[in-house]
Amino acid sequence: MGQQMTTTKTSLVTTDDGNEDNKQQPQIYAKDSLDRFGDDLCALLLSYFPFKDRFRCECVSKQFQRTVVGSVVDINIDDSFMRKISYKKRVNNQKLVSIAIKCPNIETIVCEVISTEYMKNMCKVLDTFRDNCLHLRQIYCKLWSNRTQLSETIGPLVTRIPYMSSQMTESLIHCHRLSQLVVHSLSDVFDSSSGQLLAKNLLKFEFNSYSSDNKKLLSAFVAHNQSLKSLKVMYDLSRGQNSHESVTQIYGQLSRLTQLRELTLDFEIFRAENSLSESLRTIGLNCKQLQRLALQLNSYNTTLNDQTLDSLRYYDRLKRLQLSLNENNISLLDNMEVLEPLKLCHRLQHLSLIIRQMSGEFLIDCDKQWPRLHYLSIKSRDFSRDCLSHISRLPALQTLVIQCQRSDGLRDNDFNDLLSSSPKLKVIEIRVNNEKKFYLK
Amino acid sequence: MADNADHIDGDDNEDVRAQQNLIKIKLKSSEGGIYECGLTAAKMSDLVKNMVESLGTDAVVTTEPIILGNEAVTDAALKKIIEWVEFHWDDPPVDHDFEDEKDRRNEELSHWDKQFIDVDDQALLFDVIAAANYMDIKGLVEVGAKHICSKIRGKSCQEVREMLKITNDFTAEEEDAIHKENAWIYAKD
Repeated sequence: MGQQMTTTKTSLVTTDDGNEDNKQQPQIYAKDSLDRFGDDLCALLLSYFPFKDRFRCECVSKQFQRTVVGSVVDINIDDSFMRKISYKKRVNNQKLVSIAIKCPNIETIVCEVISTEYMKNMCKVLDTFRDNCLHLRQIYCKLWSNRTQLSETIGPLVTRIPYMSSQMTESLIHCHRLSQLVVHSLSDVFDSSSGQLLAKNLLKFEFNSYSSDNKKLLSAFVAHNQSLKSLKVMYDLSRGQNSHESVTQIYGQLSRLTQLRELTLDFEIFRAENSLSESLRTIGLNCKQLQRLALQLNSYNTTLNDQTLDSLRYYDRLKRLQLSLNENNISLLDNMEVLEPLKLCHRLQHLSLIIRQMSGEFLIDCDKQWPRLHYLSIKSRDFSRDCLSHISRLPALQTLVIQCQRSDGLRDNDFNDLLSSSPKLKVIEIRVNNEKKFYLK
Repeated sequence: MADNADHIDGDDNEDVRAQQNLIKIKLKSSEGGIYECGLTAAKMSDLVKNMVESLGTDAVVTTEPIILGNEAVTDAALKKIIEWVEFHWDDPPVDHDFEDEKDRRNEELSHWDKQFIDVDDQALLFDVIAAANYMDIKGLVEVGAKHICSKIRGKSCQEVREMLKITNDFTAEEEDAIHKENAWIYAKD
């Protein structure tokens, strides 16, 4: 790596870029000059350039002029962009059209406009790009201010809404191709007057508030979104009238989403109860396609015990697990028993743990329990030395990430030893008190 | 526990790939140097993959090395390329349900890739990129592209020319005209 090679700087004939003008006479370019590349490769390399830098670089050379702007495939429209194309808060139309014409290959537009003053011009800007960029296929757009009403022409291009506020529900009427949506409350995807469901056949969905009178809505949503592959629910188990019954009801409904491949659950646990275990069981038994599970459990004044995660035994197909246990009650998680059920997930490839403490004892047979694990991340207060020797036996591990406050006096040597003794380990990333360090094979 | 789904999700495939990478094939640079590379790693190059598939694995293992005739495939470049594919061949496969093209394009390079591609000798860097492009190793071309773009980010046109040794073939008037056309980009953020 970073090895110094001394090559004689010879010259070479340019690669043929299919451009007739350049064919007449083969030109000689220095090997260390970007001029040696044909337009295709040059456009490919420059396609990773940030949007604004492209326009600044257009006058570098004729090749840049041919490639740097035309190769734009996605563009972020944010406040700074709007400011640049506006004069006294009014969009300069001519400017906008000339930009759009220069970038005929745009496929994706990400709207990140925040200021309301620019928000009202958003649709005009989007229309201009739509008229000039024939490859435009997707728009990602937050909908939180009623100044952005999606038109009939723009709506069908919107495929992702990273957040939609409750007053924007009507905009969904035109979004036939929507695949990803984040809302606060489940009721936000229903028309407030007709009660009609406006988001169907989604692939990814996230909501973070639910009350038990949403029961019918949930049932309708599930029925029309059987295509759903990824779901995130942030849900307060204990608040208000959310009884044990209502919790298990929700998960009974969600378990009808049999195509789910990814599920993220964010729980608050205020009192000892078994709704979590029961809910996990229902989903594990029904959602057979589930491969990724992320659980964030925040507990207050209650004890997580070895029953809490027991239902992970129904998740033996799981490939990726993220588990975060935040406890405000100090004494709890020195007890590793709560994590025991993880050992039943033999197909795990990717495991990320945020816990109070990691003990060597827990990892003793980790190589037998997780023979396919290639990514392991542990964030805990302490990380003890005896963990490393167990980790070194994980047969498929490629990446290890450790974040802790105290690292038990572990030094560079220890990590370099781990790299050489572990069969497939390539990278170790260590963060002790936010100081980051890498070890590479 | 072994049901049909197990075969579809590619665990067995992983073992086959590991087995196959124990098979070594020979690659020959345009300068004549011959280097060994694991079969699975070498097949990260679509060019090599197609050759192996049309010749048959047995033929490739026992007979002459695969010749990579493009001038960019120098000994030094080929060594770097083999280092890269031997590191990356067992990367977990991309699951398109979760990772999409746009996110990947915007993702930062891994620490290892950054160190790998940070080559002082620019002629070698460009050889590696051109050779990877010729050999059709998309992941490596992408690493090169991200590296170059991070190097010239925020630089002026003149600085970009100097850094990448680009000849300015515009007249002063032409350059001025383009500059004017793009004046909006210099407006205050």
